[in-house]
Amino acid sequence: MNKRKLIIIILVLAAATVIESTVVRMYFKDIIMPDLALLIIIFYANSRGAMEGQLSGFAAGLTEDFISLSPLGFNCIIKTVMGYLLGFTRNKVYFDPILFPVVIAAVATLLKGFLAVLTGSIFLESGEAPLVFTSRFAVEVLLNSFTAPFIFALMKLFKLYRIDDRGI
Amino acid sequence: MLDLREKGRAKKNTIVFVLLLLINTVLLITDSRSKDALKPSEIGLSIVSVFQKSFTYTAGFFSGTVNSISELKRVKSEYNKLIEKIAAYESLEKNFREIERENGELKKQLGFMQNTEIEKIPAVIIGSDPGNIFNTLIIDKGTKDGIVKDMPVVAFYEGFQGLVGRVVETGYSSSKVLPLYDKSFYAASRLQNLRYEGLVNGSGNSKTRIFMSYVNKSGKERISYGDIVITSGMKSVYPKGIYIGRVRSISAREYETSLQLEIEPTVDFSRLEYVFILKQDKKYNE
Repeated sequence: MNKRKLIIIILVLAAATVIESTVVRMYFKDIIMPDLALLIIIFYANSRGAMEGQLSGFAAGLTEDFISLSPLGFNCIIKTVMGYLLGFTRNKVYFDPILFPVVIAAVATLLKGFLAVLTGSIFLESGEAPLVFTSRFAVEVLLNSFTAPFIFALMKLFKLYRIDDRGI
Repeated sequence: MLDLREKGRAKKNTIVFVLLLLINTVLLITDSRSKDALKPSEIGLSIVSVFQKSFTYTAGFFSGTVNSISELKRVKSEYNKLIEKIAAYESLEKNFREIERENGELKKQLGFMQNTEIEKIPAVIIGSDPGNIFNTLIIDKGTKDGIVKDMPVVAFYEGFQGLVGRVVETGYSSSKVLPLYDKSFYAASRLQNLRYEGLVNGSGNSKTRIFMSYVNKSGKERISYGDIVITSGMKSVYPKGIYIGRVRSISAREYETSLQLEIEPTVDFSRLEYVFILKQDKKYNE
């Protein structure tokens, strides 16, 4: 595990979450946004494996919980599990430029929705559990799929993932 | 040898995963149970809001600079118009002062108390929920500015003081606001003219309308499109008389004993930038 790169990716994820909650929403109010942090986690977990995937997921989820009305730990647990599970695609699934990013982003968003329902039903009182599977969620699935190829291309451009275990 | 290394790595991954899950579980349990203790989320909100503020203000600065030239022209023409208006208002003010003094004298004679003016703390919305599941607004005022949980939040929109929501969590220099369109938002309300009471509840989406439930069925023929809904102040955190919205449709099912009204909020959340937190005395509504 390359600690320096992990710290950089955690900072990138935190910045993506903060930018999404401020600048992006300032200009696109009331518009459903793609989950940028989730897309970065998908790419990073696939490139670096379960350990980096879950740690970056934990950090991204925690940042999201701090600024969201969700209970602390809600997004954190979802993104940790997602980072861990997506880490198993390392060396098994290789991304082409368009088709696979679209498919994996859709699958990951659906998994995120399922985990949100599961976490809500376990930890939250029935009145406080969020409604996840609505028309807004369907739009988010489409948006994440559409945005994934661009985010993955950007990640490749910055070469944040291309470091082996010796840190080279 | 390689297989052993792989197994060791997988084991390490699983241990860390279980550890992270445990931390998350503790966080979730702590969040819903400990009401009075200092929550880790409050500390986190304070830290992250520093970055939110810088992003919001930086973006605001750039967009403000770009628009400043056309803005200057508009301001100049508005300035000229305002100068003319001021002259007219000056004479009005003289009359107003006289009426105000006379009103005060009459109130004294009738033994009325002076109106309670609620202190308003201005705030800027610096962020909203990064996800699409929960609804949050984050403002740039916190405990250091005297903000406490459950304070009502309003905004002035087209001359009306409209309800925005209430403070649900406070950090040192920022707070989280639950907007009135959230599913978990409730406010005691009434129709301004017909005085029918009900309970306003969000729909979960800022684009859709909100609902006023438990309205007496006898109002079915009397309530009409456009009627104004205000807060009733009945044992509520919201002072009475704040505008919530206007009636857009009425639904009455045969088997139900009450009406449900669809309300269009007074505040346009897609254009909301500045809000006011009402620093009211808790005894105000009692």
